[in-house]
Formats: sequence, C-alpha cells, structure tokens
Amino acid sequence: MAQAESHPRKYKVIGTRPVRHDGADKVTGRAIYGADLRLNGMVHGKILRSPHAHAVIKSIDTSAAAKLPGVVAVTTSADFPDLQDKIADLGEGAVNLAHLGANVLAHGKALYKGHAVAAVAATSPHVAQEALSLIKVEYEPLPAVTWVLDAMKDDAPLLHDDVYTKSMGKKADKPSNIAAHIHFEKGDVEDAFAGSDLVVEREFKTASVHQGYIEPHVSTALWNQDGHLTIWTSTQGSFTARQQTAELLQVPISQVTVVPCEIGGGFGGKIAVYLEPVAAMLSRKCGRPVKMVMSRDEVFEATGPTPGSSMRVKIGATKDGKLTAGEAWLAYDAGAFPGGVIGPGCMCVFSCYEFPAARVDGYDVLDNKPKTQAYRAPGATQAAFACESVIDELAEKLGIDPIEFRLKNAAKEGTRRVDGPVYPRVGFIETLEAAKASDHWKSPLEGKNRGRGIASGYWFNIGLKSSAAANVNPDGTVSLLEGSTDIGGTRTSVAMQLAETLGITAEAVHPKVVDTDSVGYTDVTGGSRVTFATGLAAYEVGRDILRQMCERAAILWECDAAEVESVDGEFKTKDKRMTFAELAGKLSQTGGPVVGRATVNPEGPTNGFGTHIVDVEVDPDTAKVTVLRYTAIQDAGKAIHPSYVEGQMQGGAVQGIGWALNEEYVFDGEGRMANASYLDYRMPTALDVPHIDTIIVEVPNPAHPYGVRGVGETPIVPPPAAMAVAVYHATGVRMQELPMSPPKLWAAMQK
Amino acid sequence: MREQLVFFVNGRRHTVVGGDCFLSLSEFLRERLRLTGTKVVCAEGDCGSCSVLVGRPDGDKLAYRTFDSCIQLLFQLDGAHVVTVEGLRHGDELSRVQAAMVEQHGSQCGYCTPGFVVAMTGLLENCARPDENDWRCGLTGNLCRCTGYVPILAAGRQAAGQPGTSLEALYPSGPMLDEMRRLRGESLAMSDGRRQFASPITLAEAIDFLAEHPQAKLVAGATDVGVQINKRMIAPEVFLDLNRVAELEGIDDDGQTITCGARASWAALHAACADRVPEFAAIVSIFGSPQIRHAGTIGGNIVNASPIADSLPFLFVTESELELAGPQGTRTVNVTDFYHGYRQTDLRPGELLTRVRIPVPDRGQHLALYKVSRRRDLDIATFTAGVLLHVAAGKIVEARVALGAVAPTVVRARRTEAFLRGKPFDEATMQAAGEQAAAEISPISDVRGGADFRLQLTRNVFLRFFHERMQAAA
Ligand SMILES: Cc1cc2nc3c(=O)[nH]c(=O)nc-3n(C[C@H](O)[C@H](O)[C@H](O)COP(=O)(O)OP(=O)(O)OC[C@H]3O[C@@H](n4cnc5c(N)ncnc54)[C@H](O)[C@@H]3O)c2cc1C
Ligand code: FES
Ligand code: FES
Repeated sequence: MAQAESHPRKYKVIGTRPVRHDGADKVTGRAIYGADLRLNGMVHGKILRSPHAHAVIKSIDTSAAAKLPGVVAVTTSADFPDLQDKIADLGEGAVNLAHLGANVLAHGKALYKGHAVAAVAATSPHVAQEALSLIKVEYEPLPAVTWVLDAMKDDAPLLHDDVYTKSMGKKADKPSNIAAHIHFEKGDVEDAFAGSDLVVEREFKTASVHQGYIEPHVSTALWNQDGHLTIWTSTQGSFTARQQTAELLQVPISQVTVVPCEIGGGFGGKIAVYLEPVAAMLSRKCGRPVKMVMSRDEVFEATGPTPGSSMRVKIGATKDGKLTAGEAWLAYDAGAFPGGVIGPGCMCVFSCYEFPAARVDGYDVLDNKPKTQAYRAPGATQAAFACESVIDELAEKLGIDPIEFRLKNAAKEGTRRVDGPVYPRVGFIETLEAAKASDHWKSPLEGKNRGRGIASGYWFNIGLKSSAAANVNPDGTVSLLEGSTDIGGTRTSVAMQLAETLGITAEAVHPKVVDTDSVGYTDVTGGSRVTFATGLAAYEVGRDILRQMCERAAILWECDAAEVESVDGEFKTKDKRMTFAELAGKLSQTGGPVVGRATVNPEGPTNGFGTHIVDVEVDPDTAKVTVLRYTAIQDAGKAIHPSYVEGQMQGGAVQGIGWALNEEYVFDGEGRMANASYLDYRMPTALDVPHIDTIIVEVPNPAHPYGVRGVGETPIVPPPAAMAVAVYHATGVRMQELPMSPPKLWAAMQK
Repeated sequence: MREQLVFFVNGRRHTVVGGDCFLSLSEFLRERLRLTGTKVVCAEGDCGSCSVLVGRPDGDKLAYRTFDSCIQLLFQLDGAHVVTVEGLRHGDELSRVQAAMVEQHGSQCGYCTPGFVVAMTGLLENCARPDENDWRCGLTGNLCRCTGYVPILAAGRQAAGQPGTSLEALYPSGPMLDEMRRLRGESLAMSDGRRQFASPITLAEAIDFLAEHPQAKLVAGATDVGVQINKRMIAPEVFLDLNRVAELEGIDDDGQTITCGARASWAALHAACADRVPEFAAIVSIFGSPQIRHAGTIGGNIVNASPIADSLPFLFVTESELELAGPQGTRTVNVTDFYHGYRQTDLRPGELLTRVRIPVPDRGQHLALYKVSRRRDLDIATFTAGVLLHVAAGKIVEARVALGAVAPTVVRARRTEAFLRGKPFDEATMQAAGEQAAAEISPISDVRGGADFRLQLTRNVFLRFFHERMQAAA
C-alpha cells in the first residue's frame, strides 16, 4: 500500500534534529502527567494487596474500612461483572477477560504477593491508606512457586484449575501450569546435526527483571451521572486501555473516553490495565473523580516483570563455519496468568541466521509472580542471550572471528525464519560490516582482567493500526492530531514526516496526542511501531492535504487541479506559484478549511537488526564488572530524527547492561519479592555505564515511504549476550546465568 | 517560642502551621503549592526525581544544595529557601540547563527531567567547571531509565560552557537572609493535636524536651527517618528536630583529632577529610548520592546502627569516641563499645549523640577502607571493611580490623588482630589473617550476597591490602 511514488530522496526535514515540540514543558516541570492531575471533588484510591504469594481468599470484610471517616467507597472483585469464559480481541490477540479481571482484583485466590484484593477511596491518600488496614481478609496460604522449571513439575502447586496445556491446537486433559507449548520446525534437524563437524549445546537461565519505567502507574476516573466514564491515565495505548476497561466493566465502548496524560516511560509495561477499572468502579460508587497512584513497591510487586527463563540451545556447524542446525528449548514464566512472551521468544531465538534446519519448542508457564508483561523486544533478549552465547562459543572453537562467523551465516533478503516468514530486504549484514569497520572493534583492548564481547539481536517492527488527522491553519502551520501516546519524542518524529510530506518545517507542525474521542483508532505505542506506522499515517495525511490544497489552488487560479503541482512546500502551475503558507491563508476564500486524515494498517513485519560491542573489566577479588566501552550499531532503515534513534539505542543498551549485570527479582522462601525497591533492585546510574557510542546504518525499509524501520526495541536484545562474552574473555568463565551479579559471577569464577 | 514554620519557596515567603508541618516537602510542594514539576517516584531517596535546591545562609549569601524532597519533613525546612524546577526560569527564558536539556534531547519520557535539571543546576552552583567525572558522580542520585544518560551528560557539558544566571542573581538573598538570621535565633514548636515537634536551638532545650518526651523521634538529616516513615515502618507522633541545635554543628581539627558535631553532613565531612584522611574521604565520596550526602549526617549514621553503615569500619579502626549528652550530663563511649546488638545502641533514654572525636591515623599507619556493592554509587554495601596496621621494621606492631555486613553489628576481628601483632608484614601473614578473619565471623545470606561470598570477600581484603601497600611502596 505504501509503496510510494518515487519520492525525492533528498530530505529537508527528515534526518535533521529539531528540538521537540514539548521540550520546554518537560524541562520546566509544566508537562502534566497523570499524578499531576487534580479535578474538582477528587478523592484518592488505594489498593489492598495480598501479603501471600499464593492463597485462597476465604473472606473479605470491608465494613470497618467503610465506616472510617473520610472513606467514600470500597470495592472488591465482587462488584465487577462475572466474566467467566468471555474472550475479547484486544488488538494483539485474544484475551481471556476472566484472567484480565482477576489480575486487576483477585477473584477467590491471590496468585502473587502484591496481588490486588480490595480498594478504597477516601478524601486523602493518608485516610485511604489507613482504611486499608481496617479491611479484614481471611487467607488460606498455599505453597508458592516462582521458578519456571519448578512450576513445570507434575507435583508443583497448581495456580489455576481451568488452565490446560494448549499444544498445536490441542488441549490437554488435565490442568497444568504449562499454559501453552509452541513448536516450530524447519528441515530435517536430526540429519543436519549428524552432518555437523561441531555441535555446542548449553543451558541458560535468566531472572525476572522489571521494565523500571520511572513514573509509577497512575489513573484517575470519573464515572459521570450520565453514565459516561472518563479516564485520565498513563498508558501506552489509550484505545487498548479504553477497550480493556469497557470489557471488564461490561459497558459499551462508546461510553468510555480515555484521555492519555504524558507518560513517564512504559517499555511494554503500560499496556495492560491495572488501576483504570478499579478507579472507575470506585468513582461509580462515590460519584466523584477517583485518583489512584501506585507506590514504587507496588510497581515492582504487582506490575509487569518480564519473564524469568530456562533455556537450552544446541547449534551445529561445519568446519568452515556454516551453520547446519539449531535446536532451542525455551521455558518462560508467564506469571500468574497465561499469555507471556514465549511466542516472540521462539520466533527470535534463531532469527539472525540462516539455519538449514532448526527446531524450537517453547513453554508458557504459570507461576506465582505478577502477570509478566512485554519489555522492549519481549522475549527476544533472553533468547538472544542463549543463542548468541552459543554462536560465540562455536566461532571460538572453530577458530573463526565472531564477526566473520556471523557474516557467513547472516539472515538476509530471502532467508526463511524457522517460524515461517521470509525476510524482505534487511540490514543485518550492514550492521556487521559497520561493526567490523568501527573504531571500537579496530582498537585493541589492553590490560589485565579485561575482555571484549560482541553480539547481535533482532526484533520485529509490527505494523498495526494508526490514525491521524491534521488541520491547516491560516498562518501556514498545521495542527496534527494523533492517538499514539508519546514516550520518547514520537510527537516530533511523526510531525517531521508530515512536515516533510508537506514541504514545511517541523516547527510549522503542531502535534498533539488526543483522547479516544478525538482521533481514529490507534494501537499501542509499542512494537517499535509509532515512527513507522503513525508516521505512515502522517505521511498519508500529508498527501490528503496536498491533494485538497492543489484543488484549492486550482480554484484560485481558475485552472484544472491536475495542472497544479506541489513541490517542496510550493504549489505551482507552469506560470504561477504560491507557498504553502500563502495558500493556507486563502483557504477561506476557496471553500473553507482543509482537514487531512488517514488511517493505516500496514501488514507484514519488517525487521530491525543490531550488533553491539562491549569492553569490560572484572575485579578478580570482588567479581564486579565495570563496563569500559560500548558501541551499539543498528539498522534504522531511515533515521527520521537521528538523535531520537541514538536515544533509543543508548537507552536500550543501558537497560540491557542493567539486565546483564544486576537487575533481578529476588524471592524469599515464601515466594515474596525480597527487593521491591530501587534500593535493592539496582538500575544503572550515570556512573555505572560508559558513554554509549552509536552507529546508525540505513538500509531503507521497502514498506515505508521514507524507509523507516522501528528502532525502539532491538537495542535491548544484544547487550546481555555481548556482556557475557566480554566477561568470558576477561575471566575465562562463560556465564550462562543472568544477572552476572558479583555473587553469582564470583561463584562461577571459583569453579 | 515561635509556633509557625517560616520558609521561602521560589523567592516567596510561606508560613505553615498545624498538620502540614509533618508532610514531606515533596507532598507540600505538589499538593499544597501545586508545584507538580517535582515528581515522586520512589519516596525513598533512590531516584532524585523529587530533587529541589535548598538554600541556607552561608556567610553573607545563601548556599544551595540538592536535596531529595520526598525524605525531608517540612519542619526541617524552617528558615530555608527551596527552589523547585519551576523556579529556575528567568522570566520567559529557560535557564542554561533547561535550554541545554532541550537542545541536547535530554528527555525521552521526561519524567526524570525536572530532577535532573535541578541536580545539574545544583552541581553548577557549586562547581564552576565540572569535568566528566564530576558530572557522572554529581548525577548518581538521579535515575533515568530512558536515555542511557548520554544526552543528559551532553546537556551538562553544554550548560557548563555557557554563561548562566546564578541562584543568587535570580533570588537576591539580602532580604531573605535578614529574616533567616532572625528565625535561626528562635526556638520553634508545634502540635496539630495528634502529632508534635520541637525544633530547639540549644542542646539544653533539646535535652529538656527529650526528658519530657522520651519517645520522641530524633531527626537530623532524615535520610533514614524519612524513608522509614514513607515505608510505614515507623509513625512517630513526637519529633525532636536537631537541625537548628547550635552545639551539634561544626567540625574542628586540632592536628590529631577531628571533632565533629553529630549534625555534620557527609558533604561537610568530605570537605574536612579530603586532605587529612583521604581513605575516609574516598568512602564518603561514594556514600549514597549527592542528595544523600547533603542531608545525611554522621550522627544519624552512627545512631541508626546499621551493620552496613559506611562510616563505621573507619570509626571502629580509629577507635573514635562518641560524646553523649543526657539529663545526667555528658559521657563518652568508644564506638567499639556502642553497639549491643542488631540496631541496639548504648544510648540511654533521654540521651543523644552530640559529638564524634576521630583520632586521625598518623603517617606511619596504613589505613585501608573497603566497600563492596553492586553499583559504584548510591548503593548499600554487600560488605565493608577497615584495616589499620602500624608496621615498623617489617613487623606489624599494631593491627585493627573492622568488618561490616558480616554480623548484626559492625565488628572488630579481635582474634585476627591478635594474630597479626608481631608478625612480619608479608603475603603469607596476610593470607593467613584472611583465613583467620573468615573463621572469626559467620555472615548471613541476603539479597545482596551469599554468606560464602562474604567470607571470600573477607579473605580477599587482607591480600588486597597487602598488594596495595606493595604497589604504593614500589
Ligand atoms: C538513598 C539512600 C542512600 C544511602 N546510602 C548510604 C550509604 O551509602 N552508606 C550508609 O552508610 N548509609 C546510607 N544511607 C543511610 C543514611 O543516609 C545514613 O545512615 C545517614 O548518615 C543518616 O543520617 P541522617 O542525618 O539522615 O539520619 P536521620 O534519618 O535523621 O536519623 C537516623 C537515626 O538516628 C537518630 N539520630 C540522628 N541524629 C541523632 C543524634 N544526634 N543523637 C541520637 N540519635 C540521632 C534518629 O532518631 C534516627 O533513628 C542511605 C540512605 C538513603 C535514603
Ligand atoms: S522520589 Fe525518588 S528520591 Fe524522592
Ligand atoms: S527520560 Fe524517561 S526516565 Fe529519563
């Protein structure tokens, strides 16, 4: 669809680095985030959470809390519609509403420490907090399980008695913590292994980590007397939030408006609803706006970690360095409800290479953790840690340079992934060539206890639906309305594409993220899709505007619209010309305002590859790893705003470093998170990471008029693997476990 | 006795009475003044999103330092000038830091941005030409999850290279200073019916108040107390604010002993120790974060009695003395006798810590202090240690070893010390000492590390100490 006409490849706006439209609001503190909202008559909601990782809820008595002066409403899951067996399509596949609802407020059983059990609203947060302590809940604690392999055992504590393993379309006959088994296969795997000169097989495990967005979840709801529900929230997708909330409350979707506030980071963790339906129910009960803000420990204990995993990867190669076969066994935990990120994990594990034969088995496993959520390239980072570690070991054993080894086997146009899709033009080889040519790779690393690692990674670039509209203003500017919440500057990168299309400056476009009543349906900000898909919508809006403006020029010039051309912000015929701004000023004489609009739904995934190089030093006494130098290389297709692309690469790399070295959910013997604070859950500070160098490679995406590939997610994929290789060269120990924290690395170094 | 709080926010004077005095500064700013640029993210001093600048009289000007407003109780701010991110613009213009953050694309989601803008402004107020290390160390109290810090550091460098308006120019201190001096001379107390606090200006008043209210929670920098309140570990109803007690201030150095008031902040101690005890200054420089070092005090660290308190290995090996004052007068206790068990101290009801006397190791002694943690900065220790050896003619004359995070309190490894005394200072001795020390302790496993890891760290300390000495000598 978007195979655009031959477009001028010399861009005026694309590729420049304008300051963001909301820059001043961000640095002066004026930007309004969810927690900053205050409405007339607003009250404050708080959630009572389970102290047990697994327990039957025998009874909940809220009467004393309801009587506390200042308390205006109390709710439990009993107030919500019964959603048994209801399935909804939430844009990214079918979701069992009963599970979604039970995650928002526990239904009969608490499935993880921190699981929401009841909620109150009161005139101040302090009163609401006090009221929580008056709610009496009778629990019957059950044994808990928090490690994926333990949860898969036959005698493991069972989380749900209505979940049966789904395997290749078939449903098992007895309930299990294994919610799904995925299987992909290509070629004759046994044969291919038999024909290999070298086979390396290793086991890996990784701990659950949190997305770590700085802004805690927050939502405010007002259920109006006329039955209309308005929700102000911090979300990656206002339309998904609207749909989930409407479904859980069983009200018509048109009765719900979601107003997205500024959002303080999400990384995949702000797609599912947590507070929205609860705030709505409390508001319905008290008739006032109810605001709910999570504390940091609630964010850790009750919102999306990304899965812990157990993985086995086996890869074969010939003497001259051609991959022959691959086999992967991946078990990821889904947390308390089915539907984790094992699917993309299975698709990504071998996605960087051309495998003649490969087999992947994946398991979606329930355990007593919060329901896992997406985290930047969900599922791919774990898988890449395993696969890339084995690739490095193979290269070493074969005596082939790791970049050369990758180049011999790199996925390219025409490569078929083990799960089926065939790649269009992709830029993996180009990232490897860029790595080889980089100053970092060419400078030798000297010094004791030091090592260098390299690894690659892959992530999709989902399309999905985006809408946008734009009004041409008489002063020659354009107001752009979009539905994609802006987490990292997408207002600007989308506005730039409209500006480029119209031939005006980025500053002349005023982008605005609007509520669900004010723009067409738009899917989540996620899947590296906004600059790609909403950008595509902006491009289409631009073309719609240009078409209309040409008609208007024709009216003014009393000629045929076909005679009017638009080039570089000007409209012209053979002998007349007018700038965009001039024509914009005359629209009222030609029939009134011009509004452009578009909705898009690009099909077929495109792809983003990256390769990272890292140098580390390991203290032999304390096993502490210091990152000395880091270079991230990625194919961006076309970097609309290079600083934002670099920002994604740097931010993702640093998250990956945190994942590699320190971040982990630590559980006590009862399955409770023991480090639910920034004090004990260690995210990197400015002192923990070096400057992250970036190299942007541009292999245009054939599916986008400006060649854009999404870049948001790939950068987190290579770091743990690259770090593990670097640690190996520094210490001689191949770490097969994340994080490589000092105690764990030290223990491995003793062996 | 004054019965209202007086302080300034962005140049405007505010008075507060009643229950609001017990709010955290961040809540007061956000909820009462609607200054919502100050964000609350962790409410425990770990992220810096709530950073504000606090100006207090210093000579004839106000000196501004960055604080985490989520763990400051409002009554601690009496007589101070608080500048928030909203107060940094010059009229219609962005400040140089704000402009640089926009131009260098220093925000992605922007939630951390106000805190960084404030912390960067604070750094530039106190350090005219920060280098790369100053920037990285100066921003360790602020977490950003989006950017990887690269554009933020670039913004810092850009801002530092441009002329900027100082806070003094933005908010001339003259009129504020006059009032602040007057406020400083007045004791302050308040009650809202349920809770009360006293903020005396003399030690005698403080002791009297404590005698009347033995249950009162003492508040110095509140970096521990504030966290404990926010995490609902404690809910004190009576507070004794030590922030204005004159006798608890000051740091003196007579050449042999550094004597500091219990209220000495880590930032002040760092300045006082930088040349005199560089080993301790190095530990202080990675204590918490700038925000924590500006607020936190040595007295609070000692009395909080954590087995991982960073100051203690040093105080233990120097055998520092603690001066305690109470209704019965003043007494002195050696820090090594101060701890009776996990978070139990020798303080009697009604007593408080007034001064700490630190004998400065002389040049002939070898001092080494260690802190092992996961991150380089703003991190609690997995393990701490202090080793002080006096070596003469190749023989160990005197040895003191203190270990932290291996027992309910920081401990002296007395048997190891005895073992070392009289032995030659060589690799074999130090290796054996490590084994001896490991045999002397029985650490626990927790989220920060396993017992076996801690035992190994204990062993390693001695060899590392030896090798460092050899390297220094070579
Ligand atoms: C983010 C963060 C990072 C930290 N990092 C470190 C670190 O790296 N190393 C480390 O050791 N600590 C660290 N701490 C802990 C804390 O900052 C220190 O213990 C600090 O020195 C406490 O001083 P304060 O003045 O803030 O104490 P407060 O919180 O005011 O008081 C602490 C305790 O001491 C009592 N007290 C205070 N002064 C007196 C007195 N004069 N007489 C009697 N009792 C008194 C109080 O009643 C209270 O019980 C950190 C804390 C935070 C929040
Ligand atoms: S909110 Fe994190 S330090 Fe204050
Ligand atoms: S910009 Fe999002 S946390 Fe820093």
